[in-house]
Amino acid sequence: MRTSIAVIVLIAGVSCTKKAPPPPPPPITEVRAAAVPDLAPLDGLDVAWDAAPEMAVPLLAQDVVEPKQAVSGVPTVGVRALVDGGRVVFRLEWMDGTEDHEVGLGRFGDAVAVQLPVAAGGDVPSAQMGEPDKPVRISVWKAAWQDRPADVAAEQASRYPNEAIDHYPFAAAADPAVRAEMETRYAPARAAGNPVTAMASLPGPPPGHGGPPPPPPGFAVQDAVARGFGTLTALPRPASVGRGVRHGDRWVVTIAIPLAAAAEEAPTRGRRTYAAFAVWDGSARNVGARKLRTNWVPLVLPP
Amino acid sequence: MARVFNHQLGRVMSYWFPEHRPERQFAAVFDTNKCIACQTCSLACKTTWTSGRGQEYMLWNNVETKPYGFYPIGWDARLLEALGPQAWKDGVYEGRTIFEAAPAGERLLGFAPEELDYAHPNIGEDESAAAVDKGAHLVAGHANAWMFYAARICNHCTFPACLASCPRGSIYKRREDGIVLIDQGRCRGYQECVRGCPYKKTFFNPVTRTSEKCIACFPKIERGLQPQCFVNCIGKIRSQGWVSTPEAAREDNPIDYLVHVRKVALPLYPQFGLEPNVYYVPPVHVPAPFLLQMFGPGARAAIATYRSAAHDRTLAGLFTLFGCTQSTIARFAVRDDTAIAWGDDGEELVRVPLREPVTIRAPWDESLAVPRWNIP
Repeated sequence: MRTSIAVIVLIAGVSCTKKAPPPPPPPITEVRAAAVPDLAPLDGLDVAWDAAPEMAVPLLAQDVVEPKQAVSGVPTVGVRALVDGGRVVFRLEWMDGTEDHEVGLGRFGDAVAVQLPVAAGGDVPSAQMGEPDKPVRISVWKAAWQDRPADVAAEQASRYPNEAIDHYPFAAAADPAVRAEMETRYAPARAAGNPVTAMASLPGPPPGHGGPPPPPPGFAVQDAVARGFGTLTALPRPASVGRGVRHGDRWVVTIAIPLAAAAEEAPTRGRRTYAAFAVWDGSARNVGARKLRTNWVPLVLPP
Repeated sequence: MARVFNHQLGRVMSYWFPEHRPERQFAAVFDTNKCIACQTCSLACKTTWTSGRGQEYMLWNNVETKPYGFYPIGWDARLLEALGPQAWKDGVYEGRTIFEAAPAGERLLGFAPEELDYAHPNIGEDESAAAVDKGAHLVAGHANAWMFYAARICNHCTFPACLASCPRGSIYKRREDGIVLIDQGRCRGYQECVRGCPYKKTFFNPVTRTSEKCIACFPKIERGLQPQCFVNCIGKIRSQGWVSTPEAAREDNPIDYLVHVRKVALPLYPQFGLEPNVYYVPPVHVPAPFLLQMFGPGARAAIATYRSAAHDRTLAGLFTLFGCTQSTIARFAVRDDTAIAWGDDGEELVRVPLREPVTIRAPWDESLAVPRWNIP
């Protein structure tokens, strides 16, 4: 037996000396978008994505400001990009063994975000939410927004089958407009026009109340601007769209962001800029500042 | 962190923001000895503010039986256990506040309740601290068998933990009255305030996916009126007003008089470090160690002062004014046998006799040949 092992080792050794293994491919250190003639697919599993090289971007724990994320459970997020006529579409893939698309007390959903500097050029702000005079544009996809219930009342009854509710003040109103107005009165964030509530399948705001109407199903992305920690402010109407699918124990999410109309803004075709990313794992109670984030990585868009 | 002076602790402490007190501070006194846990306050609040979807188990005002009542379950016990020793020496707190005990990477020491912790708002109702020996009746003053009712709203703290917790700055303290509010247009539902408030008086609404809290009925406050839970209290245990810092206390300000002058009303868990602005007259029948933990080192003296009210016209008169006007009392006085309250503009709000006139009728009505009931 010992002789046999020695022979095998010898053969292997001779073999190695005769033929060296091919050198590993050079690491991909930038997100180089591939151009596609038609609309880039929002389906992250579409074969069109094979044309785009994937950069494995290291994920870091958000350990700059409190509340911090103490541990980084996911090493990298795989980033690809396609450019079509008017959009750059990112494909983000990361490992997450638990699918979290419900939001409730103590329950948080999975999410991912793309951050781009607002201004074109290489003078990028801090990768941590931008700076007061150097804003960043952030597009956030949340599983809870994509999978939000079509009917809040039905979803509530399903989640709490033994619930006993005496009465909602608005339930007695026969006129749908009156009912909607009353229901909004008891949903102060909705009445205040909070963009977050537009993603929560509440009834649309009655006339005279602010806030965007609920986006159609599939609109799971919110666009926002930030000028430093704690300044994230959602734009009135999202321009980006996105879609997430589960692929084994991984999320594959696409986020399509319109190209900038002005040359001095990012992103524009033919110009080099930067992008950063963040990932939230709902099961790990990641929310807000409790997240995994990346540094800026170069983003190259073809002419 | 900044360094601020917390007069309830008698010392400087760490806080997330520099000290910046409002022009005047919303405050209240609750007399626990009068509360019967009828929950009228809870219903007054609920029907006014939290009858919408996602607010079903949200009680900005709740009344719980101590020691075994909690809403949410274990809200205070869990934090007290995590906070470590909470010693006082000569009126100065020697332990750590929740800000000073913040774990690495956190803004403060807090915990996130689970959904089921809110599912039993009146758990422990009327349970006494221990079994009653040799019988099923409870005699007041029994050594171990005691309980009392703690009515709770947001404390609109001077150093709010909810405000410190919010990484977005979506919570603010109003300069004009010190009321703490969540900006409903800006909250993104991170639930950091729910985790951070030690009194658990911020709530997550799963339908709007934002957090909500007691607003001290600010539309009423702005009109000189006391909040719903105050004016609907049938036990007349509450009075809302304005509290000064100790050095600026005025004897004719009802809250100042009870809190700073007579020291008969005490903050709830002052050791947490928030300088809460709802003050409690402690229950007279509860063992001192429990009261010390819940209301700080002044509990025993407060009870002695409270018991003396029967022979103290000013103190008795002020308590008589509780629940006798829907307006906020800015100034009071006791003259002869009458307590008088005035509003912000000097207008007289109400005057109440210290002793109501009593007429005792004969128990038998001769003319109708029927018995009478004398009802106080």
